[in-house]
Amino acid sequence: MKFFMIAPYYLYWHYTRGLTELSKNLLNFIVFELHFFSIKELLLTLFSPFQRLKENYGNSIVDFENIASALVVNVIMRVVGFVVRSLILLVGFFAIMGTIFFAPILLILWILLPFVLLIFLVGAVWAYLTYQI
Amino acid sequence: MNYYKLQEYKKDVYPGIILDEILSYRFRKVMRKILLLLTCVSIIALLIPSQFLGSHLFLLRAVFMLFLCMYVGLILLEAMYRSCYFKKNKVDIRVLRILNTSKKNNDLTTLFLNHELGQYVMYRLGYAQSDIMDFLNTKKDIVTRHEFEIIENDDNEVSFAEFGYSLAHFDSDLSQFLRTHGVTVGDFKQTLEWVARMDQAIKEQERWWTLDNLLRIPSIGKSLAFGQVYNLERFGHNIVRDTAYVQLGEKWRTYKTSVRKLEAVLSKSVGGNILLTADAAYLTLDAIASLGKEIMQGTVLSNLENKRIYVLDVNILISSYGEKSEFETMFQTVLHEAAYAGNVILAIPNFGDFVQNTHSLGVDVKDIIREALQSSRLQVIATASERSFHEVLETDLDLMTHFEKLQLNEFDSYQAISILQQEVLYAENREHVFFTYQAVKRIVESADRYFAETSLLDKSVDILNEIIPVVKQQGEFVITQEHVDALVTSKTGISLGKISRDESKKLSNIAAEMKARVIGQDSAVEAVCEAMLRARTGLANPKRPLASFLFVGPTGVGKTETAKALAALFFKDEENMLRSDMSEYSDAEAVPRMIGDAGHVGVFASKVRQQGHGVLLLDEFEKASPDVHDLFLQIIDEGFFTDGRGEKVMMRNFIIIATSNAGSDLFALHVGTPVHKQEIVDHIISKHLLRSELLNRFDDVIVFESLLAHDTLLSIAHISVSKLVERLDRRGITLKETSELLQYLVKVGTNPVFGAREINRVITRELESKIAQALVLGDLFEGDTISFVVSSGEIEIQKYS
Repeated sequence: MKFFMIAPYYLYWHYTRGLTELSKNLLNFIVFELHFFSIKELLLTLFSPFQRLKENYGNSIVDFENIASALVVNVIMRVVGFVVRSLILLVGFFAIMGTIFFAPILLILWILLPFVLLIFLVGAVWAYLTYQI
Repeated sequence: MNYYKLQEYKKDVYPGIILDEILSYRFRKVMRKILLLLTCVSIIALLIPSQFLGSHLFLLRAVFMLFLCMYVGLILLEAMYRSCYFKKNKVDIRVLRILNTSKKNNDLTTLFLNHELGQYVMYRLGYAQSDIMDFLNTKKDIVTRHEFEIIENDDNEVSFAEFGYSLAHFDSDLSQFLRTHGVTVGDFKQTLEWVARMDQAIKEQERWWTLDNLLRIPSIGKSLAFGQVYNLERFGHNIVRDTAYVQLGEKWRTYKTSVRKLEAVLSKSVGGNILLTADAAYLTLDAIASLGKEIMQGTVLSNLENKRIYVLDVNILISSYGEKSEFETMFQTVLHEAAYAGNVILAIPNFGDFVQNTHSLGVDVKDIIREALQSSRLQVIATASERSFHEVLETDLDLMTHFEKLQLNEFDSYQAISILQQEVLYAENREHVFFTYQAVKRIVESADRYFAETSLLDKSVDILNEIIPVVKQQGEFVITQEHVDALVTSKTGISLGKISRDESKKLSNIAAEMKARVIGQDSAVEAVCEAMLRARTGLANPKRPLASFLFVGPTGVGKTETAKALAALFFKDEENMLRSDMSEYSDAEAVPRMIGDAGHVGVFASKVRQQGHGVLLLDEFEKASPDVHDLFLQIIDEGFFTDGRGEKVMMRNFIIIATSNAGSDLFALHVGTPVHKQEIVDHIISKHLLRSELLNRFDDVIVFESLLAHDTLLSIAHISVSKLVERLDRRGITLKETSELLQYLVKVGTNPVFGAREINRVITRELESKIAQALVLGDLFEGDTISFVVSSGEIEIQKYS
């Protein structure tokens, strides 16, 4: 019976500290996703060349061929950089959106969980007993 | 802090306390596993098509729900427990948990020893379950919660370690129980700290959802913003990716202060370059690797996030580009690349040596680096030994303005034990063995004492890794202090640890054995034996040589013989002796010749290194120069010296014996009466032969008497003749020893000033050469039996037929 002594302590914890800690953990998860998908860094360097690869324009202003080829290379590098970064950003965006969507559901679930558990437990025991009869 | 005060801190963590009291941590863990398994089994059962199950389906669903609910319930309870466990509280929840079970008259020590962690502490100290039970059954003294008071630590917090420590303080039975097993209060406290730290670390690791643990997962996409370093990949290694460095970065896990400083300097937005100096090169590289790992885990200051540390492989660069301009161009390219990539920190190991080596190519590396640091955002960690820092770098003030200097110190033995405890846990998990605390402590002590030439920690880890297979081979899995002692003995030849019965017999006979070898010097031999017993029983200072003596006495009275006997008895072989004639080291250049300098290896230093342990015999010690005397002052005091290249040479496994025939005239004056030690010491000091500080450093000054008693001299002659008999026996010739011969040897071979040294010379010069002549002339053959007779003062061979 001693075991059931825990119930009031548990319920108190579940709706006070338990709830706040869960919400904090959900927030942590969003912070983690921002870190994992490098959102800030990718946004700041969205149009930078891919891996800082670039061609020099040279010192001569009249060497049009060189300038043109360098220009083409550099534009391509920036386009490649943009495409790759956007892809990662997109995945990250969906992940964060998912978390933001599921967080309230989880919180509601947490609030209902003791009741759900109780109902299921009683249901299971009841089902077992009726089966016996 | 008393019991009632402690109760005030219970409120916040109370749910955790009662949960732990009703269902122990271990029980909950096992139950969770079982319920998870049962839930899974019932899910699988539910997958069976319903026509096979029939009416059982209903029951099965009910059972599944039951298991699932119980499993989720247990997880929720565990979440509550963790929440309480990690709640910041002035009093450790584990202490409150033990106190909470106590009733008015309960003994707290009993409760402590019944708790999981309390028991675990005792196992770590080498106690068996039965020892603890026996102790609890016979315990008389009772410490109740009313009289108990906890000694607080500096931060006013009550930790688990403080609780146990205070118990040992209050409960005389407990402290007696510890003492009888050779556990000191300090050992007890360190073990408590170890166990408590371990418990917390395990629980911390299981909480993957904390921000700390989540941010350790490396992020994706960041490398897109930084450049590639193609040339640096050729001439350098990424410190966290290269296999050569995988092992590094572990040592600073526990003591991070130096790594934190490194981090602080490097994260400066301008001029974040650092020069790391240390006596041992591995320390600097390890600190850098440690930082590299933290960067990878993302647990560093934000300015350092995403940085990559590359260690420049100086040797490959030099050997690939032997020509000045080529080398310069490549080096500049590498520096430029590192700066342009935007997130590279360039580590240049042994910067001082690098500067010197490239100097011969005509390259001024310092200049190139200075330019690079001025014109770009290059970040550099340079490392150097203290010596090369002073010789090469310190003088270049202009370059030094770009660097901040940080000196790394070697770990002391307390730190080494804590770090090793961490290593032990990994080893235990891997190898399924169990180390007692004493074994861990002894590993560090032995490493410090017997193998300390390189790093204390490296040697300790080496011993740790070496001992596991040895003990496993013996079919055991608990590693104790005795195992460590046995391993060290097998490696050094020095007996350690508890004295076995055989050995104790040998030790008690040692004086007798030595007296049999060294004739007529009973008091000297006894003094030496006493000092040696002190060394063997561990009463001697471990930071000094095993023993150090000054032997004084005229020549030929047995000083060298005593040294040889010591080598044979303590190191199992007379060969374990290093002999140095100190009159060779009387000039001003003596010390560099002995210990070497930057360019040369010293004779003495390399001999000591090679030998490792044994007897060091310093003949005619007083004739060495004052500098040499100072060197030995340090050696006797600290047990090591630093050679010309700045490396430590350990002398703690040596018995140092300096001999001197200072005051031979005193001995000549005292013919027939013993010379007192004080007289000799006064004589030595008044003649400025040795300084009094040095004299005082020796464990003992031992006076060898002149050998004057006729019987004594006869015994010495007998020993020398016995050796000749043995040699001749090998050639098939039998020599009969006669008293006539012995009398002759004593008469010709001894005098008050030179002692008995002449006896051996007479044997070689007269007896052996006579036999040789006879052999050559064909007067003597194998199988003959001979003796010597004296006729008219001359010695002659007599042949038996």
